[in-house]
Amino acid sequence: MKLAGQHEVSTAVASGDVVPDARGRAGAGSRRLVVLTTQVVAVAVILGLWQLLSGRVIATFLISNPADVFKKLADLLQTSAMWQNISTTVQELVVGYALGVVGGALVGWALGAVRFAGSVFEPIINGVNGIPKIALAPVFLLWFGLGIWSKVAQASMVVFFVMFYNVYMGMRSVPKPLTDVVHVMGASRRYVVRKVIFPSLAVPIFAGLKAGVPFAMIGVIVGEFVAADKGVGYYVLEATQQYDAAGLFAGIVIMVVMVLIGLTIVNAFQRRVLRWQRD
Amino acid sequence: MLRMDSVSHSFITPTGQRMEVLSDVSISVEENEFFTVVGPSGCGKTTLLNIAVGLVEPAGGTVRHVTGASGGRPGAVGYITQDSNLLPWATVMENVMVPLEIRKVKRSERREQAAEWIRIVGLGGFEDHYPRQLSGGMQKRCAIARTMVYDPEIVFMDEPFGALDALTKTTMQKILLDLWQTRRKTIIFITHDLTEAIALSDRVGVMTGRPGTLKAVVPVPLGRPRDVYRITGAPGFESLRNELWSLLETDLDP
Ligand SMILES: Nc1ncnc2c1ncn2[C@@H]1O[C@H](COP(=O)(O)OP(=O)(O)O)[C@@H](O)[C@H]1O
Ligand SMILES: [Mg+2]
Repeated sequence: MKLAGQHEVSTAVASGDVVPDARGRAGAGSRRLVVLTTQVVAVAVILGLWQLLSGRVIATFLISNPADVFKKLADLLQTSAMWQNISTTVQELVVGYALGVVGGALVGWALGAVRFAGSVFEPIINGVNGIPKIALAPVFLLWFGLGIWSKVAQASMVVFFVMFYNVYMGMRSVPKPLTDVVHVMGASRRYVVRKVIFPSLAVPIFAGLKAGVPFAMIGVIVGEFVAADKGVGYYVLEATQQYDAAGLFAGIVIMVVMVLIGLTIVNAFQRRVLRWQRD
Repeated sequence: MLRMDSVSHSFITPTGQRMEVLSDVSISVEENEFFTVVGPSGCGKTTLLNIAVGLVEPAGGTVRHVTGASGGRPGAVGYITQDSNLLPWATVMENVMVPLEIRKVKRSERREQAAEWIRIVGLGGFEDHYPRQLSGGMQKRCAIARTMVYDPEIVFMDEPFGALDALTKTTMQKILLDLWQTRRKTIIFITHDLTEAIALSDRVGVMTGRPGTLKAVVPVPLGRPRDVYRITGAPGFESLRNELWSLLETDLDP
């Protein structure tokens, strides 16, 4: 490659040739503050209404109230029994989510990459997905027993489909002009996979990872409702049977917090990987 | 040198019919020649280039690249598509380094060569920008740098400046002509802009409407170097433009 003396071409950026508007950054910070404040106020209003209505309009044993729930939560988190429940549910979540995500991504990748396999198996997978997954809970109980594995199976089953569809559709919509142009440059198949197909799957993969978090929680809790002797879902069911509304809601708060933690982790990961997309 | 012999191609339309797109196209482009193809929209120009670079297998006919005779790396083919088709997740620098990565150029040299070409096309200072942060003209510059950096001996360009405003377009034409003049490459260029065709080319091939055939090849007798900013005033420009126009217009819908 001749690199010497390449100054023959005008290097000025022509006047019509400007960068698209970089939107003003100054307003972004204060706008975020307004959004946050409004969110806090909205949540406060809802909690306030709940507190007001409880015992006056709706019986406390049905809906408890925020103050009681908060107190119950604080008490529960002092007990090792509750931490055991939490630890069990976390294990089921993490293992179920991981299996579902990996399985769904691999099958989605394979069926997306091999057109023939895709046309054979996609309708079959659609059919299996048509099964209401809750109906499988007794089956998993029978196959995997009372321990964490029936819940892991339930959660991974749900997550699998979420991930599968995202990756499969992602494979179908890899922009062909991009793979073509890199191919003409002389790229190997491996290079195209690594530098074009993988990155273009990042968006659908993160969509699947995010949607998968609450779905994993649904799977685990369904499993625990059907039969369990540990777990947050098991605790919530127990509380309900004892008309302990505060305990029931405290359990739900714990579930929500778990899901939010999961989403936060995925979001942090996404911000790193999808840097090119950010504004 | 590029030789296309009796190339024809057809597609199956969504309704299942066979649509003839190219019929018996023969083109012979000499080494270091700037050859432009003009033709009505939908006549198969893009398909012709896709066939020439090997992305599409023609239904009939042959394509031969006789390599080693032009300036540039023997056998290497460049393709600048209608859309810039930069990798959206890669910065300007990373995009321009792609062909060097493919060629397994040493890491330190990669960056150096890419930076050099980014500077030549006038994108210095934008190395770390992502494509969506660039204007259309700047994306085109990046696509040109990404192609020139691996020094292909033959470059195909598909209406590369079609979407640009008049001023940016003329500037890009100047950049391209300067590059071609100093680097001696074979360029096959597609446009629907007759002024652009005349300003740039040695010869202009005129295609008919679908199914596209090569109707005429018209040499451009204007001397070089050419001033693209004032090309419309060059002696002989008007009559040549009229000649090309009358060749084209018989194929346009009334
Ligand atoms: N992959 C394809 N499948 C079916 N039809 C196509 C395909 N590519 C192009 N065509 C059709 O072939 C014709 C010529 O297309 P193209 O080569 O892009 O024309 P041009 O570049 O001259 O505008 C158009 O009518 C277009 O709709
Ligand atoms: Mg076209």
